[in-house]
Amino acid sequence: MSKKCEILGTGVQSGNNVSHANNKTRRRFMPNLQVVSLFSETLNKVFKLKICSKTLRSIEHNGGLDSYLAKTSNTKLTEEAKQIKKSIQSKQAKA
Amino acid sequence: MEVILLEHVEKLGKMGDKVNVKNGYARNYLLPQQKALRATDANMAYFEAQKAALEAHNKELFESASKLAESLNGFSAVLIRQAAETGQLYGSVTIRDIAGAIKDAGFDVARRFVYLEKPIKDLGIYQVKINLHPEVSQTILVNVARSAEDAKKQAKAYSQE
Repeated sequence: MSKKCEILGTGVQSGNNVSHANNKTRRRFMPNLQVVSLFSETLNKVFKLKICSKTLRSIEHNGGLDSYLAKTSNTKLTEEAKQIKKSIQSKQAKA
Repeated sequence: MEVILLEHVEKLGKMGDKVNVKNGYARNYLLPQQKALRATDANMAYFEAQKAALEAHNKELFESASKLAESLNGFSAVLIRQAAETGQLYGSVTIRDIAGAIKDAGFDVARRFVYLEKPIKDLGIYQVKINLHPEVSQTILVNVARSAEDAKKQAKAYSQE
């Protein structure tokens, strides 16, 4: 499984471990991924997504999945998130 | 997370209450089951607008639950199980079995309403609480016996107590 946030695409970053003697060894910084169920009020549906804890924090801050996706620009979102956003928007347009 | 309750939730509050709950409780249970809304301004306004309809809906739930509770009054489920000499069951009687017995008797009771702390492991008669609604509950008898005759004997002995 790829270590990527399914909404923002945050992935593994790499850097150096730097010792006191300034020896550098390569290391990886992993995103804090969690599987969470997010409920969309508009679609009346639960999405089970593997997302980064930071993304989850933003979602809670913005009052849920629907409003978070509406506020976030498409350039930041992954293909999957864009699709969810699109279906939410089309449902809202109908209502 | 702050939420407004759309219906009475046990140990939390009644409809219209604004309560603080853990994020996961809201995200995984209250919001998907439509028992609550996030306490945002838009949702508060929506709640005020829908208040009458929600109240009517809740009243309907309450009434159907009380009706069911009344019809369940004095109900006793008989379950036939094999048991050892000492009265210990081979196996156990669980919520699933009790809910099934109630359903077979023609009552519409979901499994989650049956409140049983731990499975029944011995022969005898037990009082089991059925929580039909946060404000409505009914106690029924569960009669666990080796045979139908034993069940009758047990019921007789129990009613004399």
